Amino acid sequence: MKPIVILALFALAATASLAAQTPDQVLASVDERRNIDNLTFSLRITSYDTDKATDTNTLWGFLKDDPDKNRVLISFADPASVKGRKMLMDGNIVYLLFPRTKNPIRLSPLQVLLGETSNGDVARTGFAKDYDVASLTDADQDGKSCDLFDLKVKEAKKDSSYKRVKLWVEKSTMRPIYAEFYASGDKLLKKAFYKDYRPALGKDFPFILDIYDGEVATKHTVMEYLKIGTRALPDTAFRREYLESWTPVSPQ
Amino acid sequence: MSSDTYHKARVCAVAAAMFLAATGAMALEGEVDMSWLDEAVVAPHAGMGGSALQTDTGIAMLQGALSHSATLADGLSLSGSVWALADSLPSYNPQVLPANVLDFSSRVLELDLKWEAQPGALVFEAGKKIIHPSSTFFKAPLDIMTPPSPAISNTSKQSAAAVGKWEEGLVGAGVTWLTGPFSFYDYVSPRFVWSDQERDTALCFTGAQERFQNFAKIGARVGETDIQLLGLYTSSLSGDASDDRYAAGVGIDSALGDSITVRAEASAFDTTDRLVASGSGSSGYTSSTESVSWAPRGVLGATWSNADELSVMVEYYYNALGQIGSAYTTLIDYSAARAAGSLALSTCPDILEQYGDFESAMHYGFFRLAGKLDQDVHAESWFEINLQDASALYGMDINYVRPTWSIGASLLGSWGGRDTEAALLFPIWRAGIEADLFF
Repeated sequence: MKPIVILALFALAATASLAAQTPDQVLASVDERRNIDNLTFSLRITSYDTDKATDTNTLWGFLKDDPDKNRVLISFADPASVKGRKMLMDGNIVYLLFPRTKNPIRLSPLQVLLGETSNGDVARTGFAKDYDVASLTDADQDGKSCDLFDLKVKEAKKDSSYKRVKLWVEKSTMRPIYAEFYASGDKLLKKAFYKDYRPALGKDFPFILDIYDGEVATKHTVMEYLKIGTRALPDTAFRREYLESWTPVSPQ
Repeated sequence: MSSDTYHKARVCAVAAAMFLAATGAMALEGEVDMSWLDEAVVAPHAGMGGSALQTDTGIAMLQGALSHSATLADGLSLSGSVWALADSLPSYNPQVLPANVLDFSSRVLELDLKWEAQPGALVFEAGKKIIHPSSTFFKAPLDIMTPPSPAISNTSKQSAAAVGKWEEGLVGAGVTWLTGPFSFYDYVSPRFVWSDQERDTALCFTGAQERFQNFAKIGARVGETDIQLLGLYTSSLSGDASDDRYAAGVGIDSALGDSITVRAEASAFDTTDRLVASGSGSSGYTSSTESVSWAPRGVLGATWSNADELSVMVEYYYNALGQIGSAYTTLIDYSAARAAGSLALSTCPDILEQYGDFESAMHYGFFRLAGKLDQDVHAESWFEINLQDASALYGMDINYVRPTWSIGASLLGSWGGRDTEAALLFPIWRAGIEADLFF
C-alpha cells in the first residue's frame, strides 16, 4: 500500500475521532501527526529580500522534543565563512561555539542568529506544549477549508518570543498550512507557510517552512529540510559541555 | 638530509596541501588571511642621543589554516588543523627586523582523536587540543593552562578579544563525563619538546610544553545559571617540589530577561612571581622579583543585545597581580625612563612587557559596541581603559563578509600622556586591511 494512501486513511480515522476531543486535544493531535522525536536533519535556510536571496546557510543537527521544551543541537555546514559553528538551544537558553574557540558563549533569547529567522522558528515543531487554545473557529485559507486555532502562550511559557499564535489547519488533512506569530500587544512578528508535506518516518512532515517578516512584506526566509532521520541521544548531549565534543555528521 | 633541503621539503609539503585543499582534491576546509598593517610607534633613536622619535612601519602577513574532520567509525573521530604564517615583521618592533624578507612559521594547531564511549555522555580524547574555559571577552581569568612556547604570532593584536584568531593547543589526553546536571572534565598534558628547535625554527609542528599540567573542571547548571569550578596542578618535572604550582578558579554566567547576559570569573595561583620597580629618578631605578600568593584575577561582565544584532558589552577586570598607588607610579616612571633611553636596556628589564598588555595595574574597564550595518557588513568599536591612569586603547573594525571571502579594515590607537601604561605599551596608531578566503 502506498504511503499516501496510508496517510489518507489515517487522516480519515483521526478526523472521525476529533469530534470527541477538546480544542487543546485537537491541537495536540495536529502536532502529533507531524512531530518526529529525536529528529536528525540537514536543513537549508535561505533569506530573501524582494525575491533576491541575500543569505543561505546549511545546518546539520538534532532535535529532541521533550514534554516541556525543545532542545536542538546545530552545526553550520555551509557557507565556508561560517562552517564549523555549533549552536545549542535548550529551551530559551542558547549557546554558540565559534570554530577555534573552546567555550560556548551564551546568547540572549532576543539575538537573531540566522537572517530573518529567530531561534524559536528553527526549533518549533509543536504548539500544544507552549500554547492553550483560546478559540477554535472555521476559516478559509488559500481556498482550503480550515480550523483556525487562536493560541495564547501558557503562563509557564511566558518567556516565549511569541505570546500569541493564530494557526490555520486544513480540515481534510489536519495539516497546519499557515500561522501568524504575535508579540505582546498583538504586534504581528512573523507569518509562516507550511509546505511540501510528504510522508517521512511514519509522519506527515512539512519539508518547507516559508516565514515572512511581519513588518517588511518583502523579507522572507525559506527553511527546507534536505534530509531527515532519527537518532536517540541522551539528555546530557544537549548540554553546554558536550557542544565542543560533538562531531557533527550529516543524517543518512 | 641537509637542513636546507629538509626545510624546503616541508615548505613544499605545506604548499602542496594548501593547493590540494583549494582545488577540492582533498576534503579539507581552509582559510587564507592576507593583511597589511601600518603602525606608528615612539622608539628610542640611537643616532639622536637616545631621544625618542615617532617611527612608521609597514607589516605584511600571509597566513592560512587547513582543517579536516573525519569519522573513522561509529563514535570514533579524528579532527585537526594546521597553520602557517609568512610575516614581514614577527617582532612587531621596527628595531628588531627578521633575518629574511619574510619570517616563516607553522604549527599543528590541533589534532584530536575522539572516542565517544557513551554518545553524549562519556568522551575520551587524545592528541593536541586548545582549552579555553573563559567566557569573557577582554581578559580571560579562567584560561589558566600554560600555552606552548613560543606562542604563535598572528593578527590577534588587532582585536580586543582575549583569544587570538589562531592558537596552538596542548598535547595530552582527556576525558569528559556528563551525568545528570553535572559535567566532569580532566585533561593531562605532559612536559613535551617535539621539535628540533635548532634545526627546525621555521616549520616546527609543535611548540615546547615546558611544564606538566593536569587541568580539571566541574560544571553544573543551577536554574538558568551555569557554574564551573576549575583546578590546575602544574610542575616542571625537575624534581623540585618548590616549582610545583596550584591554581583554582570559578565562573558563572547567566541571562537576565530576554536581552542581557551576565558573567563573572575569578582565578588565582598559589604562587606567582612578578617584577617590581623601586627607586626614583634622582636615586636611580632598580628592579627585583617578588612572589605573590593567591593573588586573584577576576572579570565582571554583561552584554546587552537586541533583535537587530546590535550589542553593547561592558566588562570590569580586577587584577591583584598588578600594582596600585606608589608602587604603580614607580613602575610607570621606571618604564618611561627606560623608554626615553635614560636606563640601560641591558640591565633594566622591560617590566611592562613582562606583565603583558594592560596587566600592570589593578583596575581596568572595557566597553564594546558591535552591530550589523547591512546584511553583510559588521562593525565594532571598543575601548580598553586603565582606570588608574585613565589611559586607553581603542579600536574600530568594519568587515564585509560574503560566503567565501571577506574584507575588513581596522584602526587601533592609544590615548594618554607619555607617562601612562597605554602610551608606553601600544603604538600611537595602527591601521590595517585584511582579506580572507574561505573554502
